[in-house]
Amino acid sequence: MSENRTIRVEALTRVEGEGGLHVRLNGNVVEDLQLTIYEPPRFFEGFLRCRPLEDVPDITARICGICPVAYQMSAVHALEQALGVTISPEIRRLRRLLYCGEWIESHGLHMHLLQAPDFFNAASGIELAATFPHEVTRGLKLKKLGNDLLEVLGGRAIHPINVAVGGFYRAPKREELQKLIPSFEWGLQAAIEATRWVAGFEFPDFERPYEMISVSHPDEYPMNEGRIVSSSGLMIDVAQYEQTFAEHHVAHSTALHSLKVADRSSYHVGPLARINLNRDRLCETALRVADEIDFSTPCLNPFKAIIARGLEVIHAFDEALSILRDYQSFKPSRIPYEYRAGEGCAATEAPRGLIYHRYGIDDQGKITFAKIVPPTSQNQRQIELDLIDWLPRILSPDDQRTADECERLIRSYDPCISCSTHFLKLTWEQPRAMIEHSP
Amino acid sequence: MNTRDMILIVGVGSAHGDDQAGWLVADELARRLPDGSFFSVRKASVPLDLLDWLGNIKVLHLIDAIQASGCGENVRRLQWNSGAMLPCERSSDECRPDRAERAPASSRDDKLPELAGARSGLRETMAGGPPGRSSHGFSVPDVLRLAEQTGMLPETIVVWAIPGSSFQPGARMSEQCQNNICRTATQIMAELSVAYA
Repeated sequence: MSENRTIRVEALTRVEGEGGLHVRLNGNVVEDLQLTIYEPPRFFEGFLRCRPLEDVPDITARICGICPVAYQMSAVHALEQALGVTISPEIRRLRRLLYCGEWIESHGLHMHLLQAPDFFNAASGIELAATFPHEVTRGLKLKKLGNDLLEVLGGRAIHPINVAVGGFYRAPKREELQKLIPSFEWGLQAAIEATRWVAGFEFPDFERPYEMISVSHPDEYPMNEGRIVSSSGLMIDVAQYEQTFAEHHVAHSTALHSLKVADRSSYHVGPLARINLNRDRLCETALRVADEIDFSTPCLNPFKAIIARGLEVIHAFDEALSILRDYQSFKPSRIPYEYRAGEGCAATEAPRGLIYHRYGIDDQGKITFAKIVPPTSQNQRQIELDLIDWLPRILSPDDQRTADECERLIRSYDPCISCSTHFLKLTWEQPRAMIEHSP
Repeated sequence: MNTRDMILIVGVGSAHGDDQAGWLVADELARRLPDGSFFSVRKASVPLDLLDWLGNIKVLHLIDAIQASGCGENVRRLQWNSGAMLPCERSSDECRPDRAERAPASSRDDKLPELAGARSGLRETMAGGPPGRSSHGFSVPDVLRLAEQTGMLPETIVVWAIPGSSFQPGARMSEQCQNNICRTATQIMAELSVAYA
């Protein structure tokens, strides 16, 4: 006799967006697993059409409250390519500084309040703070420093408004950025301590044969510019992205799955991919800490993404400090341009991984089409495959415990399912006869 | 210490329907408060924003919409006390922070309405019940609890809850909620002027 087994988790937090997980098991064998994303589509690509290209950075920033800079950076670089605009070295450095701020706030939040609780069976960052008040407070301060930088440089911390096609609407004064130096010096040391802390966590023995994908630049850790590389030797220009990767609709998700065109296989983007493919371009301090904590690459354990985030926070503080110390006000803060019909694309590195934008514009400066591929779309299928491998290892007669372990793996990706609602629902089905013990 | 930072007023909300209430009251207060005063007014998109602003703050006034059926049209004044949101509906004079802190413990079991949160569709149970949901799962009560755990909590926290009924994306603000914007700002101004005159 068989009986369906259902588990429903109604109010999971610490995952960005609204989605669910449906699992059907036959004994220990996963017969079906779907990461179901049921939020309504948001149609950003649709309503960008016919808008002035100058609107794009501000509109796309609204896609995410945690990583708006990633959308802005990808948008302006793609549009500048279409317009034939070459930005100045000063603007380029200021954009890297802005991206540093976003990595710091996003990684700081995820490390301390979203993923770290999983290593201590804590239900939330609040519960973790009861045991580790110093560490959680430090994490909150790190996040705040990232937001402080976004506020100074972007005009405000959430959905910055200072990013423009061609540069910035206003370049900050030297003293505005100089004021941040003391707190960022503290932040660098705090990031080192935080990375040492997370490196000491007990990690599950779980590795996956990932194809890692990231932007890569010969001279710097990837953020705004570079080619696209993979752990299997792929090396392409960003212009070849859509010949190499394609989005597919699946019935159980309103978010598209991005797969490799050649064999429809999944791939992994995010901090682990970046570090695996660009380790030697981390700053010296991050490299020294990586060696000290024995963080070897390639690292194929998704749970260790928390360490990769820590190393990237160190790098972001180190690079931000370098830019802050050398910064001089400059003009023009924005490179002028003439409208011309064309198209352009760009790939940058959001905190959660590679993000791709492509836009077409007409000779009046209006958007004719837009394509946006966020990191989580690219990781979705990989998360499902990870869970299929992970489940037999953690399957427990305790439904809640099994569900928690699944969520733990999902959270290690820091998925940004969407920014409009925040709710993951998990249902579970298994023939009752296959269960060894009653839950 | 910069005295300007000692009293923080935060409107939590979004651009949708009655969820705009917190932002609009913050805008109104920013207009009314004199320049150079020791009040700081900010608008939050998600409750987690609060954590960045609590340094050196002694008194926090938080304004948010509430989704509440059957609780009337009146703005509710609530006091955060030891991990719980306590009702404290009094006249402006009685609502002085020094008096409000003495809200009765029995009030904790009162059935309270739900904060609308920073975006429509977010619901936060203020007294008991499951944790609320917001960006990454942090509701207003969650954020206040986290601030409490990490020693960042201001001495006095007053929550002004504005009843609303329309929280759909793109919705207009209801007349009932609109009527409460200036009323709430006036109440807060009165309380500030009594307590800090």
